[in-house]
Amino acid sequence: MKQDYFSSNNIKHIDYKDVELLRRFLTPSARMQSRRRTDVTSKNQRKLAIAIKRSRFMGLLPYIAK
Amino acid sequence: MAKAKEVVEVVDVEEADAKSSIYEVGYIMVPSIPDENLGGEVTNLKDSLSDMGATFISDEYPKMLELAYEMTRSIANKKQKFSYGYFGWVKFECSTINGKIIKDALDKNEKLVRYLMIKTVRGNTMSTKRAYGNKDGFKRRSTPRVEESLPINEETIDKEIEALVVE
Repeated sequence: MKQDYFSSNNIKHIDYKDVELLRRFLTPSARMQSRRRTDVTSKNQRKLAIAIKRSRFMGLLPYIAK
Repeated sequence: MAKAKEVVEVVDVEEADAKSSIYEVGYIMVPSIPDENLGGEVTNLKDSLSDMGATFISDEYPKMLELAYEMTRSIANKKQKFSYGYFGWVKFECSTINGKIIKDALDKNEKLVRYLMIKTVRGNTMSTKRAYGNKDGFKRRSTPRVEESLPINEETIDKEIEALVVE
C-alpha cells in the first residue's frame, strides 16, 4: 500500500526553502527520485519537482553532487 | 440615477483589472555587503517594494549561506562569480500589474545576485525547521583515516616474540 508523505503529514504546499524536506526526495547525487521511489501522488510529485527546481535555481540545492 | 449606476460599474471594472495576488520574493544579496549595512540594504529593498504598492505579510532577514554552486552575475558590465550570499525572502500582497513593475525593478538591482518571484499563499508554507546551506547530506561517506602508529623498534619486537615463545 502506497503512502503519500505529504498527505500523511498534512502538507498542502511544498516550499522551495524547505531544503531538509526536499533532500528526502533526492538521491545521493542530488537527482530527483522517481515517483516509484517517492511513493507520492502524481499531483504532489509535480509540486515536489517544481519546489526542487526552484531551490536549485536559488542555490539552496545542487543540480548535481559529486 | 442612471449616471450613478454607470459610475459604479466603471469602478468595478477598474477593481477587476487591479486584481491583487500574494507574491514571495526570495533573494540572494551580494556577500560584499558588510553586516552593519545589511539592515539598510534590506530596508531599501522593502521600501522600493512598498513604493510599488506592496503590502507586507511576512519576511525573513537575510542570512549568509554557502551556495550549492557558483553563480555568475554581471554587475556594472563586469561578470562576477559568487559562492556565498545573503539569502532572505519577503512575502507581500500587491496588484498583478504592480507585480510586473516589481520584477523589472529587481532585475535592475545590482545588490542582488539572484532573485525568485513566485505566487504563493498567505499562510506559512514551511513544514519543518529550515536549515539551508547545509550540504552535508550530499557528502559521500568516506572511511575514517587510521592514524599511522609510531615506528616500532626492532628490539621491542624481538622481546615481545621471545616472551610469546617462552609462554
